[in-house]
Amino acid sequence: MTRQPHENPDEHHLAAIHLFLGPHHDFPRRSTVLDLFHAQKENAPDRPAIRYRDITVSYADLDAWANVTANRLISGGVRAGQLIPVLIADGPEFPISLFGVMKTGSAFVPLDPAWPVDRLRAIVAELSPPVVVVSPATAGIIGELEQALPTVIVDCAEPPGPADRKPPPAGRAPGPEDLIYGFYTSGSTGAPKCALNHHRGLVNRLTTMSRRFGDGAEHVTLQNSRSTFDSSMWQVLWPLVSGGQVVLPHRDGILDLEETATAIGRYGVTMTDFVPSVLEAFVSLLEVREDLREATSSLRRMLIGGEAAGAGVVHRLRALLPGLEVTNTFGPTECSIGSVFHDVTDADADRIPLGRPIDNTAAILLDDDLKPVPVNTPGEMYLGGECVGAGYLNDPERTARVLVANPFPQIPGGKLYRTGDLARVDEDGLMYFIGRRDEQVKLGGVRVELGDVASAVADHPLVGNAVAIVLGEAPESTLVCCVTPRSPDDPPSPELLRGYAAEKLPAEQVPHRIVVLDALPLNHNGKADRKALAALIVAQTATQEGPAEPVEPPADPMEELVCSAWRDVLDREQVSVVVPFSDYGGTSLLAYRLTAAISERLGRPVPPRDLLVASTVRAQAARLTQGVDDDCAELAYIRHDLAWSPPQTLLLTGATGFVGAHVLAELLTRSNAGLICLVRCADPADGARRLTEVLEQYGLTSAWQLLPTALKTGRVEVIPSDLGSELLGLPQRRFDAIASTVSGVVNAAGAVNFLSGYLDHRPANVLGVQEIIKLASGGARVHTLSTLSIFPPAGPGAPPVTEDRLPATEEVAADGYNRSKYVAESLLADAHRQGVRSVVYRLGEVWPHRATGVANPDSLAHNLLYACARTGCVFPTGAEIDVTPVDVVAEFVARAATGDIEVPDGAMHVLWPARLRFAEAFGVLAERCALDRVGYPRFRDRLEAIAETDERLAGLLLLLPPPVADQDAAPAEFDRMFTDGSRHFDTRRFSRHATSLARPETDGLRTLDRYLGELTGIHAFVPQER
Amino acid sequence: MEERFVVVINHEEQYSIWPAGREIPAGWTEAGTEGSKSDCLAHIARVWTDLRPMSVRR
Repeated sequence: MTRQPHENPDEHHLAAIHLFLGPHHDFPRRSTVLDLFHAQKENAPDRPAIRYRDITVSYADLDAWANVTANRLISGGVRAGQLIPVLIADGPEFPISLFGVMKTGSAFVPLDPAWPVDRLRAIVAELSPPVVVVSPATAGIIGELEQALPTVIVDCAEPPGPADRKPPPAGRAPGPEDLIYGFYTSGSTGAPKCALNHHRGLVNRLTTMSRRFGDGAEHVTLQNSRSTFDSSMWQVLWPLVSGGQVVLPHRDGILDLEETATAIGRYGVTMTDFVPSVLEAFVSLLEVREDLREATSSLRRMLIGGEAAGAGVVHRLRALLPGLEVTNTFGPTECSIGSVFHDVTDADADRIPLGRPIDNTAAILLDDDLKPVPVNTPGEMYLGGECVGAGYLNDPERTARVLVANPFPQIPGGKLYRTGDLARVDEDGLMYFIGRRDEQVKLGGVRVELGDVASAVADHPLVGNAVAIVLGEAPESTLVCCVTPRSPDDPPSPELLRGYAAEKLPAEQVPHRIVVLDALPLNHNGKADRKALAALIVAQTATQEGPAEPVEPPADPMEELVCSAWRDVLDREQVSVVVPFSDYGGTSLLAYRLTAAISERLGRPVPPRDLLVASTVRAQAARLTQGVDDDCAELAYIRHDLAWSPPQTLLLTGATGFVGAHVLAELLTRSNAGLICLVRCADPADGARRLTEVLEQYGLTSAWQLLPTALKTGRVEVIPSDLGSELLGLPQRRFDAIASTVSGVVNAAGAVNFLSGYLDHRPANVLGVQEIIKLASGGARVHTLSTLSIFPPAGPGAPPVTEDRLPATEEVAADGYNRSKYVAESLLADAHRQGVRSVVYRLGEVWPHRATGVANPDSLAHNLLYACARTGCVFPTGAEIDVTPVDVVAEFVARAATGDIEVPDGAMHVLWPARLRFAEAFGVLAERCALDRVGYPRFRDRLEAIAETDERLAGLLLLLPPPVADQDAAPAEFDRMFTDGSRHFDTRRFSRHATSLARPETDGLRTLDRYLGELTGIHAFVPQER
Repeated sequence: MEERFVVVINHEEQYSIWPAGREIPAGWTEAGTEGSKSDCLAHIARVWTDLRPMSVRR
């Protein structure tokens, strides 16, 4: 077979475009959102339109209030075609204002009263409106902005007079091509930008919803998005244009999911919207609270959107509420809320697709040449049809950049919107999200342009340059801003800049951390090198000398209890009891988790409000102590005291290796054990730097972020060492001190080179183990990594290898590595008879981490797949291998070493019950990257041609057997290279003790998806499900 | 070499950019400026002062 794409471009493009078109359905093209609302009011004026606390507003009353507002706006000088700010967070005043502005023929722009005054001032200056719409609660803010700015106050407490209720003069009503609203979103140029949309786009989106989800009159919809996010538009407007009811939340800035669940029950809400990261917390709450599950049982449909949705949480929700349908929605603020939908089914077990374009819209994936990409190939998503908005206020350059001429006659409309999102389309015609093309990231579902954050900080007079980066994975990502001082003599303090940023940016865009550097690392294009920067921040923190910032320790057990909850939720080693939660980057979502963590520790529910009014550990503990009776307080102390476990310290070797680094990460993040790491290095600082580097290299970000503090507090100690030397290269006193301190040794060290002999492997793999056995005679238990390949490949019909077996000396596979591991195992078995306790973990093919997708750079299987990607071809083979993800190995070893799971002494086969046929993996790879399917000889030729320039390929080439003449398939010798796959290993002991580990995925290929993404270099900014 | 673009305009007098040398989509015509992407965008920023479609400018 030859390359598949582009054989007949026309035919191919035609098919592809068909795939990207949404269904055609008639919709009221000549109507506006206002017309549709009026029709509902005429139809049933007394029907309830709005529910808010104890208030119900009918359609007729809503219309009357909107008339009042419109008349006042017109008296205030509002003409048609203007943009009118609405500075109202919640309550019936919000929808009243929206319709009021529409009735003047102008468009509304929702502003958040919680935004910093500077931002509000800049926005109002840009809009230069004749008036601002406010509520009694927000009227005061205007005074802070500009004293002279006229306002129209919408106040539901004040009944309208009969003259006011009359509709505004005829001729003011907007047309379908007029603007309906503008929303401010984060902008990459530094200033927020106002994205504009037309009535027609909204009418199409809202009527599509009625067609798909049933008439709005059958639903009660809860507005669950803030009014300044455009998803609130469907939640508020769709019910009101289709005869339904909207429930408006009462907000006071606190994310209270219990209150959300209760409100759903109280009003019988059937439909609402969640951002996936908040949904995660909501589902966790429902899982433990039967009363709230009961309260939310009225829900019939949930829309999710705003960021990549993990399959796990969505299916947990579906299992909890069996009557609920979930729709994943996707689309930018620039295109009428969103125009790609997917109704989730059981078939989406591993991934939630973005889905397909909705009625009368198109979503097409194009390459850089503006050609549609074939199935399963990444492309940038362009949106077309009725959803396309009007661009950005006062920004022709950006508008022209994203609204491009539509070259596809099959797609209606003159323009396409360029999203900047990368996606691929599956054979089933569904689109899947891959990542962003630019610097845009999502934090807690909120769109954040890193350039926006950096430029706000860079405005400070003491700052020279600023670059913002994101560390870690959602939902625990941290936003970090790195700055250089304008003058080296006068560097700004991080606290100063954080305060400055907080005055200019909305809360979700304020950097959690600010780092002041002498200079920014640059890449070859002269731009800031983000990867190097991230590594530098961690390394710098790791090597910082001197006292850490003063930490006020907890003074009593209640403070200690609250403190431990903070440490868990914030993922920090230490917290000071007098520092506010927000200073540690505590967001409202984290605050919500904090209440759950404290409730769990106290053994009774704590309302979020109790904690949020008190911002420090000390204040929270004081509140909690006041609020409970004596017995409950005592119980809290008893629980706390029982949770104590004796401190333990482990010695870890080989932490810079692939498996070792993953074990280190597990121990760091999931235990509180002290760790002494033996590292081959010049001095402790050099060793710390190497550990930092490998954690970063393998994408182990949580551990990577924890390490600097762990080094500072002494939880992790790095000791330069040489395993092949006597006493591991340590002074006798040090060796003895370690022997008497540690309760266990995790020996993950080892030399591996399939091309060299026993003597090369002997120092690290044999002499090192001898020294470790000496050290362990002090009582520590040894945990050693070994390999299944000490057993030779089996002939046909060979019996399974049981875990208690060791091969006879003459049986051992004939290469140096396997021989050295065999000797090490034998030495440990002998020592065991003399009382040195040890566990041996025999590993097979260790696969990439299921969450990070990062592979062992020394793995034979990985290098083979890498070679296929590099040579652009795959070949037929019958080879099979076992597939044990490194996270399974690391979790098992770490938990066994800390005693979290009990394992007996002796050897164990750490093998996952999953296998992979190379032919299958090759198939996926070939399809994804459009690789050629060739014979093995041709593959080997191509490899030879490029191996010289790539060390990894050169190493692989030396191991690959020569082809057999006239045979396309790889020779049998090749298949035997993956010995573990050719032989049956009994795993009874491992399986008995591994029951608490995460279960394997049903489909081995799906778990490879993320890995193949890494391999083919398609980088995802927004992590997909874990 | 840096990719070249042309400035294009539609019947509503709205502007966009389009890769030079490629057939211009229906409904759009060349506005007479060719150059790098940033040159074209800078030109648009100068000439496109009212972003509303011509049919709704009043």
